[in-house]
Amino acid sequence: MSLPAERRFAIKVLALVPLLVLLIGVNYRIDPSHVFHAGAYESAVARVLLAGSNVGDYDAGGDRLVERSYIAGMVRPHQIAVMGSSRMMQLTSIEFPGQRLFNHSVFGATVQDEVALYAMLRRRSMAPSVLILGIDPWSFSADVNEGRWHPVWADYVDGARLIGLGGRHLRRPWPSAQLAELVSLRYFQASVAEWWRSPSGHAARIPVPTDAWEGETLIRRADGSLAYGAASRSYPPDVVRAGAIVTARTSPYMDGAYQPLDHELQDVFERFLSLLQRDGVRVILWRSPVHPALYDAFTATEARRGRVAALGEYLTRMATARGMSVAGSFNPSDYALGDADFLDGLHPKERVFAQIIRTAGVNVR
Amino acid sequence: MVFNSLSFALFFPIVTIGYFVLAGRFRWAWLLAASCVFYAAFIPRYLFILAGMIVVDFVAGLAIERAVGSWRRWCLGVSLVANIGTLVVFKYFNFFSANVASIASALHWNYPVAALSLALPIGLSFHTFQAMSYTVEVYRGRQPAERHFGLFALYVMFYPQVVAGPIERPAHLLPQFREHHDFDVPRVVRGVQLMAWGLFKKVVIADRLAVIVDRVYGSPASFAGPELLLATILFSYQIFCDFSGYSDIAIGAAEVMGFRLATNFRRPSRATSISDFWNRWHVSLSTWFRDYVFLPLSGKHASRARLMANVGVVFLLSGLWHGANWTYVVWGGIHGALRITEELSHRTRRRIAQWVTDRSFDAVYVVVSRIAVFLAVAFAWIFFRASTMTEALTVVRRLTGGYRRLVSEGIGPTVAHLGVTWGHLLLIAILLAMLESIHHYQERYGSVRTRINSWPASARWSFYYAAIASVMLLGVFSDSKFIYFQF
Repeated sequence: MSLPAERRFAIKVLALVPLLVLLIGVNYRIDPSHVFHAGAYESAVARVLLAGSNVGDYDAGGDRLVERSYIAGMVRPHQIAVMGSSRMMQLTSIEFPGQRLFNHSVFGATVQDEVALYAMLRRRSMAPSVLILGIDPWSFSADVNEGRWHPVWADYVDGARLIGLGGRHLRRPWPSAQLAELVSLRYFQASVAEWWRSPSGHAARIPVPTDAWEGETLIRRADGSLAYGAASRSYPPDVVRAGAIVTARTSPYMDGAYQPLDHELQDVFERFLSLLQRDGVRVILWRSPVHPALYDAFTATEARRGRVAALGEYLTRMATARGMSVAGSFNPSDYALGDADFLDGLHPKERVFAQIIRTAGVNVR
Repeated sequence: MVFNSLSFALFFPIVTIGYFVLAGRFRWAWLLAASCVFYAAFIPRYLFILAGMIVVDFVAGLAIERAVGSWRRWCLGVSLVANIGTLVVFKYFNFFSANVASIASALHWNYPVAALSLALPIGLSFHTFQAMSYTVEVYRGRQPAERHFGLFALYVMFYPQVVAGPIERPAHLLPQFREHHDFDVPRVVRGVQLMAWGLFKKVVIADRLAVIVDRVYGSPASFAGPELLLATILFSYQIFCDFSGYSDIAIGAAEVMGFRLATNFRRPSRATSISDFWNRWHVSLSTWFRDYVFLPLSGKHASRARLMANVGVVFLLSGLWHGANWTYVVWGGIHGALRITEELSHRTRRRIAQWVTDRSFDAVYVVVSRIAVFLAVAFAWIFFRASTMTEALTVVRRLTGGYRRLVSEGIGPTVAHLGVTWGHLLLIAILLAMLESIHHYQERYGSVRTRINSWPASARWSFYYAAIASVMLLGVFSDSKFIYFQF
């Protein structure tokens, strides 16, 4: 008996299902960023940091879970907390001698991350006296589509309730980062690379305590700041510039930076600031500079210049109205920065933070 | 919604299944709705611009058919002004205005015209040209005016080709919307195979080459001749794989549903002359310019000098079509100059070819011609790829220097400077060799798909699995858009 052509074709298509199963299976099993297996590694990293040591060969895949474990283990609040994206990770405690600082910044941070992190601190009565909040040019863009905050969704819901949000703000995001990563080909490649690098499995990795301030690979320091590996720190300026130009053209963040401010994200952020003020936390809004080539891209057209100006005006207006201070600038020429002051297009080196603090006279006392 | 995205991976089967499940009389509406969703996925408000153009051209088509005498010309004029006017406002106004402002500034004149803050609707140049070919064909009496508004709208915005072509002609595409297409398994398989090949070219080859090209062209002053030469050659392949990859996915997606779109690429790296190159590269655009610009300009009895001048005009316009930037105009100008030189040296080249053939060196002649054409085209790509004329001239100036270092220090520092590994370069070499081998096979023996489909099922499925696995492992999945989207 011969089957209809459509049915025969459907059977042929089903022959491709094993590849889909392989994709999902590898992504779930190897899970290089610990999206599916909230790991022992992150808890162990937090324990090392809480013990006052740096972590060598740091794997930042589950950085939000490190923060959660770290905050769960804190015994006393820090005077200064830093929250922001990877562009804030080079802000170290050295810049604030005599003060206890912890840098809670996470990769791809969004407003939701900051609300979630503060909710964790507040729940444990560990709110800092001063909070340095990193703002990126795309922080108030709905187009960035950053889903890395989903693992701390439950904490965000706690925070959202605290700031009076309800309804769909409390709904679990869909598709969740987990679901998206399950069928992500990029995650599949990362999984295969991870398996190649460490066939015994990522979950079995143990954090390496170290006293080194910088090393060959990533070091997460006891103050939460991040030291890039030797290769990244020593890129020649022309390579940094070339990389920055590529970033300006291709990074999904750039699309966000070129869009108008999203009113809903602004509302969440302003409610968050109100909560911080009610709790007596002093807030410093921090704008880390971007590489000159990236800033050129931000201001390449009149429309884009308008977006950057709108964000600057918004931050200044809000800070003035709330008695907060604003430090730094996205514009690298405000601090006479060049290629050698950046790790890549997005990330300034540690000395840039020192320069901003010195120039702006940031006072955390 | 780009073809290399998860959303398209969901969109395509839903639209295709819906198309075959629905009765024939609903299919156009289904495809039109799908095309609206596809286009609106970029920026929804652009649909209004497209809708406005569709209404104008639909009405113009009917009016041209009914009108007599000079009214026909007036109706065509309205359509052309509306289409070209839209292009001018969104794409060229700021370019022309900035140039006028520069001249005014040099002459100390006051030029108070402000730049427009408008984003270019995606694929505007493609669907504008497709819409214009309709009204021109109706005016010429070769195409009856379409009376079904829905089918006409679908002609302008058929989702596989609305964003980056192939630029279709009404006589080819419009009648196909009235045909009934059955679910023909061999045809569907062929369509899916072509889509897969297009995706492979985009995510495995083009986006991998882009890593080096973007780095070097991002800061050309930081790189020496060897790196610039490599990046320029790689860009020749990148843009081919990017654009022909898009065309293959578009043609394959249409083929799955039973539609035949125009051929857009015929292995341009095998071209042995510039005219041959333009018979192989972006064929739907070059034939558009031939039929609607070059032939009307030249008439039936144009002198040789006039023909050559018209070739120059067409190539300059073709450059401007790609973008409102002097770099594109220069790119078109270089191709025009090469084409004119080729035409003027026709007799000499023919004599050389004859001399070579008499001595049985014709294979060598073909290879040398291919390399010469490839290098000339690659040189022109410098202007296409560079963001500004200054950058392009920097590349040209630095292209010939720095080779001594290559001899004294070896290739190691160059590879390090490019920021890639040896493995990455080796993979690129393998991919390009594979691409050229496939082109060689196609030129000599015909369709690779036909060959694959003649294999036993076990070999065919092993090949499919290997191909999909190679995309999964070697693809660059970075949300990158297709280069030709910007036009």
